[in-house]
Amino acid sequence: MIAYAPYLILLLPLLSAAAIRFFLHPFPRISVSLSTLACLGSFLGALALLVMGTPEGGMSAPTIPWVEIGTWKAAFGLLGDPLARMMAVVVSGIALLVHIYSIGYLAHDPSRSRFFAELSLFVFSMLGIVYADNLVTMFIFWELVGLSSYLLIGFWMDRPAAGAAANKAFLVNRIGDFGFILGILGTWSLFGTFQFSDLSSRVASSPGGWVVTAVGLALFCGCLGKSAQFPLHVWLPDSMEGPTPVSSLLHAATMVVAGVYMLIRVLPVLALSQVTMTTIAWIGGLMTLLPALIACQQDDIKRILAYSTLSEIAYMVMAVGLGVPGAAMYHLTTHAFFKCLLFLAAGSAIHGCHDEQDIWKMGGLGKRMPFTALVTILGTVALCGIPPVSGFWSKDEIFTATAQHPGLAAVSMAAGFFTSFFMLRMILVAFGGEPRSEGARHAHDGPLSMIAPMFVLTVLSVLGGLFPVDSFLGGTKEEHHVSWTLWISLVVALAGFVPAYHFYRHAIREPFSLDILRRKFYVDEFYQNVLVASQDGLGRLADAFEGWVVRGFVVRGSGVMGRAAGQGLRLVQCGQVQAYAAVFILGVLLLLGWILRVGGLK
Amino acid sequence: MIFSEITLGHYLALSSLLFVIGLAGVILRRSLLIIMMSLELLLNAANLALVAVGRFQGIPDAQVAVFFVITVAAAEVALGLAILVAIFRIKKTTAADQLAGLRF
Repeated sequence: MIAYAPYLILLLPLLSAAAIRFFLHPFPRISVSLSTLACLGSFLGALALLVMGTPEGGMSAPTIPWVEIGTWKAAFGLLGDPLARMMAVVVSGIALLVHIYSIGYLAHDPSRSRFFAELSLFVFSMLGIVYADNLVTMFIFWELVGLSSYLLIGFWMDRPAAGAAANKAFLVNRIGDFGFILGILGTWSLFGTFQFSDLSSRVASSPGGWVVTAVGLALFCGCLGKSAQFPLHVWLPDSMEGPTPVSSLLHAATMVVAGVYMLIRVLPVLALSQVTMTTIAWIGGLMTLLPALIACQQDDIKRILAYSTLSEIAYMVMAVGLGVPGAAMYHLTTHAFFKCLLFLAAGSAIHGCHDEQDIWKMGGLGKRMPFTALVTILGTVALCGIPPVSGFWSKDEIFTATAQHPGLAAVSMAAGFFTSFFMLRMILVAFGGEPRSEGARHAHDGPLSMIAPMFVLTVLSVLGGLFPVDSFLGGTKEEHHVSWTLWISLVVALAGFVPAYHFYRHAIREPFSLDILRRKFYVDEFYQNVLVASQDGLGRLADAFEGWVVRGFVVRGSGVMGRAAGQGLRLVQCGQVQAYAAVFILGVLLLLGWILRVGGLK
Repeated sequence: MIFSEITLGHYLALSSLLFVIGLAGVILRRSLLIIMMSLELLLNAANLALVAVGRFQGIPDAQVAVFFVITVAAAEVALGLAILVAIFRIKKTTAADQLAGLRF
């Protein structure tokens, strides 16, 4: 029985979510405590698994038989390899910190029971993705994560924008998930297995050719949706309508990197096709740069960070495409720390300014919120990859991998330049200068439950570079050598600070207005005018078809025909019994004639 | 001599003649009483054909069938006359073309 203990890591948050939803809804205090304790339990369990397992792997819980169709069996199992154990600790740890932060952040929200129930549901589903040992189980949890994301984005259900953003996230993810399930089916038909552990041995007998490329790209499609990469990236900035702890946990640190995690899991399949890998690397490479450009012209502090998240995830995707999953996983971990930190700090600033998200209406927060300002600066240093904090080490590994690909190196380093630029812009505008609104004038740091998680994350962000992440990834890390990319990337990142300092040191309003960046390269407009409009046209066509052909001709037409036939045949009914007899005899005569002449039905 | 021998053909011709007369009576006459008499003519035309064929072909089954037909016809007449009397009491007529209540 003790062998099944790892399932508790999954079950605790699920039980908490169910208990709150069904019984504890009216008691916010108990709900909050229960949800946080469940998350703590999961974190401790994940930590125990991490410590107990060997780097070679093998801490799987016994599988539970699930579906059996003939000889085909699907089992529900937990994967205990180092990658999963590492990821689970990161996910549950950050989830725990965000739980604690939310206690302070949502202290006065009347429906915080619901919030914590949904948060628990998310922790359950996310840990399910991490521990899933086959593609089918992963897909189920993948959808559950989508559901919790939808619920949490739309948490403030009285705001129309939040509802629209939740719908958008859900619908855009559907497109990606459709590709993902095609990829799963393709994997099954090519290799006959859903198990991640079998993939690397089965791919040896791969047929090759375009089918493998198609399956790889279909799997990547799932990553495009969940990890918000081009062209399905449009939902992530809008998802910032949700509460800030949600943005921090789901849409920065954990959920959106699930796509990268999935790519690493199916890497044996992806690596079969050079086309797939190149596509992944280039979509990642371009997506480092485009959001970084857009972020330079955003005014909403959370949207700036959201675009930065898009850019950082793209680094990980690019690393996977370049065949260095270790670097991707390393950056995933450090990014989880510092991006979560930045979001929590942004939430603290928003909270301090009484729900003001526009950086141009903040200002002067450095003096009034010294702690928040400090952790934001440290998070920014980590994000921009300035040594010796964590982001430097993880980005350096990715840049090293681009050394053979000058094109990718160029775009990703340019992205580094703009990242430094917009992050310093955000800090100078929001935290420097004088307050530009009444809310900002009375801002102050939040309660202890908000301060403490930020402190822990700051420590992790700064010292994350010392984290022995690589040893949990199979220990394939080659000898670390200093490459030319290191110096260039560092110089470029530092160079990004210079123009930002020059333009925004004393700025009280935006000195530039680049419409193309403000409008996010018109992708949303494109979708609205081309895709949505064409869908509307198709819908109108279908409606006309239904109205005229189905409803008018087939349904109503058959009714009219029946009635007309009845009206016509009614005239035959004269009531004269002798007329009936005459018709009857005529019929008999015709029949008789036919039989005598032709011989009837032979 | 033409009438030297009465063959099966003669019987069948007579039977057909009776049948046609009966048919004409059923379709053309208006009085229900005459129609019922014509119906009897039809039945007896069939009977005649049955007996003749049975006799000439040596099939005794046909003659047995005739007894059944006569029995059923007797029952039918009893029932039919009862209905006819009932109709006459209500409608004060036995003309078939007056009895066209079953129409739209």
